[in-house]
This record gives sequence, C-alpha cells and structure tokens, in this order.
Amino acid sequence: MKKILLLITFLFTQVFFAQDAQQEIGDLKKIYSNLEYNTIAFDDLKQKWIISDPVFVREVFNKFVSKNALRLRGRALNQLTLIEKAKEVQDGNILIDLRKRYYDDEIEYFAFIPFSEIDNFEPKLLVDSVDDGFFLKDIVGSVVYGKLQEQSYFFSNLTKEIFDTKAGYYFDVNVDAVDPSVMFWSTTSDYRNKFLLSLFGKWGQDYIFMPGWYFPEMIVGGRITYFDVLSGDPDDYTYEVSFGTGMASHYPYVSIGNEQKLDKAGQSVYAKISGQALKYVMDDAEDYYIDLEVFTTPVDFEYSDMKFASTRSFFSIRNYAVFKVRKERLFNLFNFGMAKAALGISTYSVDEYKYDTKLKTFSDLRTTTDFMNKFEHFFFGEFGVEKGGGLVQYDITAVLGFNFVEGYLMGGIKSQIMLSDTFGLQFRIYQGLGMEPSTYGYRTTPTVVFSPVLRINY
Amino acid sequence: MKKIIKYVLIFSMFFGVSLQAQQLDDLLKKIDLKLKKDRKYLNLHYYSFQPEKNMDNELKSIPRIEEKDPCVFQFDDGISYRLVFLKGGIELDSLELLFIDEIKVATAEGGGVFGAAGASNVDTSVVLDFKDLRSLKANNYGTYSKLYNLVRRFLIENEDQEVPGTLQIRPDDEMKTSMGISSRDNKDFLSFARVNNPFIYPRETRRVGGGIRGGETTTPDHRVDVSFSRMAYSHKVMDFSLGNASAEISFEDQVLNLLPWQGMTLAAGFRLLMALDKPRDINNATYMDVNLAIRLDAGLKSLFEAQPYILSDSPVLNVPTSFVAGFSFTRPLSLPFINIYFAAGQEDYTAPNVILNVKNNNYGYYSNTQFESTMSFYWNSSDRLTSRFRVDIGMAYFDVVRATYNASKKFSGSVTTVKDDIMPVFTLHYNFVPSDNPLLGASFKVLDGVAKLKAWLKVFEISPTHTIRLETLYLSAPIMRDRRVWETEGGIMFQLRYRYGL
Repeated sequence: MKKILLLITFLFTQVFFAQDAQQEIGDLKKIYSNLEYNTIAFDDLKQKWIISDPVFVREVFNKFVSKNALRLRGRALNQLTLIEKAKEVQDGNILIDLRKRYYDDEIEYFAFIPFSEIDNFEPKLLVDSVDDGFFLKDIVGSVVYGKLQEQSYFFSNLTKEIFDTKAGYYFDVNVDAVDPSVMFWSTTSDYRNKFLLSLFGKWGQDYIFMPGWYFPEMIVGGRITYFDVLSGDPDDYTYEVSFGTGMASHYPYVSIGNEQKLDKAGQSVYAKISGQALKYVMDDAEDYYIDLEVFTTPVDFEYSDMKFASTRSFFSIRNYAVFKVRKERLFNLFNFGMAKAALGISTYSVDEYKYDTKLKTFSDLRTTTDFMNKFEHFFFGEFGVEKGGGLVQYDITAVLGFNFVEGYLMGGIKSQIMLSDTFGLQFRIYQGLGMEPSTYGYRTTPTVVFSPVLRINY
Repeated sequence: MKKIIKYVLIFSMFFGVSLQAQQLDDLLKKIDLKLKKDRKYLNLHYYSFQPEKNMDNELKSIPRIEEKDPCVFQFDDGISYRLVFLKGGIELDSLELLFIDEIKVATAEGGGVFGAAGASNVDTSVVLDFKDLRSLKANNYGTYSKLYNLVRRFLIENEDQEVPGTLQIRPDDEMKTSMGISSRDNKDFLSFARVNNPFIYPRETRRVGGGIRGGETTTPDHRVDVSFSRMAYSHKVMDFSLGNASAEISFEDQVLNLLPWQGMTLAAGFRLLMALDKPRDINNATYMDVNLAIRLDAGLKSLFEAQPYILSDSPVLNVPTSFVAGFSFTRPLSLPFINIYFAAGQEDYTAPNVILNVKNNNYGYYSNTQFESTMSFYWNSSDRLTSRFRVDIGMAYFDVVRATYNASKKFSGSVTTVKDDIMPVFTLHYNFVPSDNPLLGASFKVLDGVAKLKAWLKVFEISPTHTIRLETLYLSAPIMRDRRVWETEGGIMFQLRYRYGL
C-alpha cells in the first residue's frame, strides 16, 4: 500500500512538473514566434527554391549530423533512425526546400524533403524543419550558410510572381486598330454605381461578316456606360449607349490585288444600345444582354466629295442593323474560362455606284432596285469562351451565320489575347461556305483582320 | 502485470520529462541566438534609463543563472541601460522582458591627427540575457515584476508617442504595388514635363549644388535648353506668382511628319505657364501651358541639306509663314490632360522653296493648316516612379495643297487640295528615371501611317544643373501604304541637347 501511495505521489509530481514544463514550452514558442517582424502576408511571394544537387545536400545534412541538430517531432534522433535517414540522403532522394525572408536575404525556412513528397501540398519532411536563419547558421556554419544564400549552385526557383489583373474605373485607354476606345471621364451618383464616358472607334461589323478594314468606314463616336453597381468585370455593365459617325477608311496595307471593292458613298451615322434589359422582366437574368446596332447613311456624297483619281465602280454598304441576344457566364469550362453564347439576326443593304472622272458624275447604279430588295439577312449564332484575371486573358468566339436570302454560310473566329491585360493581339478570320465570290462582288473571302492591342487601365 | 504497468508509466514519465527538457533547451538556445544575431528583423522595443541612486534595492543587484555574478547597475553619466522587451504579439497579451544592454559611452581625450577632438566610443554589452530574465521570472518574481513595472510605467507615460524599437528594415520604404500607379493630380504631369520639356516647371523643393551649405533650396537665375533644333530660355525675372514665361526659337514641327529643319521654317515665340487656381498648390492647381509663336518661312532648304547630322531626303513640302498656338490644360473639369495645337499660315504660293516635277508638271505642295488635339494619360510602373509612361491619344489634321507652276516656275494660279483629312494620332512616351535622376527616354508617334521615333540618353552631367543629352530622331517612310509625292522616305537626325537650371 505504501509503495502504491508513493508511486502515485511520484507520478502526480511528475505530471505537475510536466505540465509546468509544457506551459513554459508554450510560452517560449509564443515569444519566439513574435520576435520577428511578421510578414505572413507575403509568404507566397517570398523567394523560394529547391536544392537538388545530391552532393551539396549531403554536405549540408552532414553539418546537421555533426552538430546533433537533427530533430524529429522535437526529439533528437537515435542511432538507428539516423542511419535510416542518412540512407535516404545517400540514395539521392532528398531535396532541400528553402525560403528567404521578404525584406532581406536571410533564410527563414529550411527543410529536408523527400523527392516523393515534392508534389504534396503538405509534404512529409525527412526531419523537422528549421524556421530561423540564425539558428540554421549556427548549425551549418557561416560558410555553408553563405553558399545557401548566394544560390550559386544548381537549384529550382519556385518564387511566385503575382499576375493578377483587376478592372480600374479612372481611365481606360484601349489602343487597337479595330475597336479602340478611351474612357476619359467617370462619376458615381449613388452608392456604388458608375457612369463612364468614352470615345470609341469601330472598324468593321462582325455580324455581316465584314470585319476590320473590309468595311470601308471607321465609326468614331461617343459612348456612355452605366453600372448600377460597380463590378469587377468591366463588361458587366447595366446599359451602354453609343453614337457615332463613319469616316472613310481603306486597307491599311498596299494592295497588290484588285482595288478595294467597298467604299463610302455618303455621310453615315451609327447608334448602339446594349444592356441587361431582360433582368427587369425576368428573375436571374443579369447575364442576358440585348444588343441593337443601327447604321445608316442619310446623306449622299456629291462628285466633289469623292477623290478618286480615275473612273471606277464600287459597292457601298449604306445601311445595316444587328439585333443580338447573348448570355454571358453560360457555364464554367474549368480552368479554361467561362463560356458564353449568342443568337441574333443582322441585315445590310448593298448599293453600287459609278464615279466617272470624264463625265464628272457620281451615280447610283441600282436606282431601279427596290429599297428592301437591296437588303440581305443573316441568322447568326456564336459560342465562345472568355477568361480574365491572372497573367493571360483571352476571348475566343466562333461565329456562324446563314444568309437565308442567298443561301450561303459564313463562319469564322474572332479572338483577343492579352498579357496582363496590357499587351495583346486581336485576330479575326471569316470564310464563306457555299458562296460563290464572283456572285457577290463586294465580298472578299476569306477575310483576315488582326491588330496589336495596347491597354492602359487604372 | 502490475509491475510492468508501473515501470512503463515511470519510464514514460521520465522520458516525457527529458524530452521536454530538451525542447526547452532548444527553444532557449534559438531565442538567445536570435536576440544576439538578428540585426534587422527583431520587432522589439526598448526602454532606456540611467539607474538612480535611490532606485529599489532589489534592482541594484539582480541575480543571474549559471553561477554568473549578479548584475549590478552602475551609476555613471556615461553609462545607460536599455531594457529590451516584446510588446505583445500573436497569442501574447502581456509584455515579455527579453534582455538588458549596458551602453558605455567613453569620450576620447585629445585630438586625432586631423584635430578631430572628442570622438566617443560606444560599448554595448548584454548584462542580463534572456535566460537570466526567464529564470528571474520563474524564481524571483518580485524583482522581475519591478523591472516589468518600469517598462509598464514608461509605456503609460509615453502612450501618445512612438516607443523606440529595434526594427532595422523599413517596410514603408519597400512597399510595392503590383499594378503600377498613376497620380490623381498634377504630379505625373509635372514630373514628365520637368524631364522632357525645355521650359521651367514648378517644384515643391529643389536642391542646388551642395557643399558646405547643402540643404539650401535655390534655383539658378538662368534656365536654358539648347539643342541643334530648338532653343528655350527663361530668367528668374520672368517668374511671377501665378507661373512663369519663357522665350523659344524652334526649327521643329509638331504635327507634320518632318524632321527638324525639314520644314524650312523658323518659329520664334513665347511660352507662358499659368496657374488658373491654387497657385501655391502645384499638384492640385489647374495649369494652362500656352505657346504662341510666329513660324517664318525662312527658306532654309540649303541649310537643311548642309547639316551633317541630318540624314534624309531634301525637303519636298513647303510650309508657309504661320501663326502657331499650343495649349495644354491640366485636368480641366476632371477630364484627362488636354493638349491642343493649331497652326494657320498665309496662302501665298508665289515663292515656293520647293517645286517638284511630277509627270512633266511643276507642282509645289504646301501645308497651310495643321491642328492636333490629344488627351494625355500618365502611369508609372511603381510608386518609385522609375519607369514613367505617357500616352497621347487624339486626332490631328493637316492639309496639303498643290499649286501649279509653269515651265518658268511662275505660279499659274491653279490650286488643288490633295489632302484634307482628320486622322487619329497616337504617341507613347517612356522615361527611365531611377532615384529621380532622368537617364533615358523615348517616344513613338504614329500619324497618317508615318512613325516618328525619338530617343535620348543623358551623356554628361555636372551637378543636376548642367546636363547634356544625346538625342536621335527617326522618321519612317510611310508604313503599309504608298509614299505620296509630298512625302520623303524618312530620315534620321542626331543632336546634342544642353540643359541648364531645369
């Protein structure tokens, strides 16, 4: 009985002292972790690298051995465990994972890590890591520590770079040949809404399959965009209204083929309205947009307004209209982006003119054709994928249209790829299917349009 | 069985205790090393004091561990103490005293070789390290709490002031942004103008020279910017409360796709910078920068062709005597920076500088009117303003008129407008200005299918007031279209640019 009581007393005393020591360990750990200026917000951006040189790894490991600094779950290794761990190092299966502090060159994390664990998010280390460069220096010595810092050996750099793009609403300058725009003024009138005023240019019309410079006019004008609540996506507006006028444009290159088939024959005006009209009549319809574009040429040119050097005949697209319903954020295509789709109808009228330098006349060759018969119509659909943020942003859309008056198809791709939403390229290609080009003298097929893009958004 | 269980329990207790002892040792060693070796990152604070003779007896002699002599504070004017502590942290609510330094300042007697008398030596040593204070806390709490209260009282008395610390890194100076920055006021406009424009622009402070009286903020009386194609001058007497004025002579053309001297004109005029409001707040004032000049048709064709640093075709476009006006406004009505340029010349075709023979006809091509209106946008790669960008976007116009001449090169009276379009214009500027010291810059302009590239490099500097730059101007041939009769195949020009006082 006495022995049992003695044993119990002894055990309680041990427990008491153990708890006391545990408390002290806890306090010291808290003190230790708070000695440094905390830079945890930058952990993923700090310089990180892995040493895979097996000879150098051995050198460093042996320093730990000689200083008896190897620990496994806080306890020093016994001989058997040491031999087992050393064998892994000798087999060349161990790497060293390091990380430097954010504001200086000192190492703040050092770990021996088995090669098989390298792709695990929380790898199982060979031994306990060292979380302090000064302690590490004490173990490996200043020479080896200096070598580790210098990174003059073979290593794999894993330092993360931030690539993230967010929309700004102060100025937005988008410079490209096909869809330039400059947002130069913005204001908020209520809570988190936004009005944006922009100047824009528009060269070409995709939905009559005359992209870029294949359309003889560049529309320039002004635009107002409204967000009822500011969004991280600048295309997620509530409504947008644009007005403009056409300016004569030509192929931006020296043509070695036939002269330009289409030209401007009068002064044109353009209007577009686009917005989330359906959300006012349907629930959960924020992703649906209705776009209506109208282009018309109310004023005809006189002979003196045209400056051709010689007599020529040409076509002119005097009017077009496009009605489109689109759904953004259709579904998530995993890491590839967000799908979107649209359906619509477009119509355009084609006139033919003759500019005669001898007679000094400029005449319409289709006066006998009924106005409505000058129009051709397309049903079109498009499906695309769009990805924003990160390092690379892109918008790739396939468009297919059926001319149900003449019975041919037009199809193609329009795309834009950007780097950090700053530099990029626009590219469009459309091809006629079942269409005889000679029948449609004003069409060129295939049509290829491209332009570099520079964007400054802040 | 009971014996086995008993021995297992005893063994595990001993083992657990020895493991904890090892962990304690390791932690104490790590903390000690950290406090001794880490010079930069220690986020600690300290209380400096000189012990007084009437201080508490318990504090006059503080016991230490490992059989070291007790710490006895010395009372001497040259000796002070620093009690370093941790002012709380994550999961740490209270102060933790860490160590005490003794700082001895010994002033050397006499002078050195160069008579530098009275140099002082500072000797710092740790008199109570972390283990000592930890042991004090565990075994002699009364003494520890007296030290603790010293610090606590110090913090209460200095609640509104910054407590001195040991952190050597400066996170505020190293702050980075990932997306570049752009100022919302005139800061970017003024910093760009100071680096690139030939005129004086206001500054917040300016340091000139240095030497014994370094720190004085004065600007030179004369301000000069001279290159082979342009001269600008202003004097302090031309400064006034709302801005300043400058005089300028120039052989350049802003709108037309010509190299300097190629227009065969000489422009002479004045420039006025005026604050329309808040003249003392240069970053928020609305400035109007006005250039007015008369551009004379100086017939400088032979002079252009004689200049060895210009490699280009002979001029083909006549530019008549014109009135030139340029305006720049800083963010009027919260719009971007607006630039407007206008030049209108007299329509006199009787004395052309250049007549071209085109298909056996004698033609003289003139540009009488030029106009350019752009908006400027600025942004910088980081808040250090090392890489500075500016984009000008807008529209430009220039006309080209063809006058017909007879075989004896007399004006026949026939004039035809051959070009009369409004065109988009785009210019991208870049400056590399490390530590606010401009080193190089470039600009790239595209108008009417012709590119104009300008690049400069600082080659010489005598103090910030005298600088010499090497500039290169390149004019391309028309890109992706045929060259028109009144256009050249482009050219290149080199020049030196001297700046003083700007």
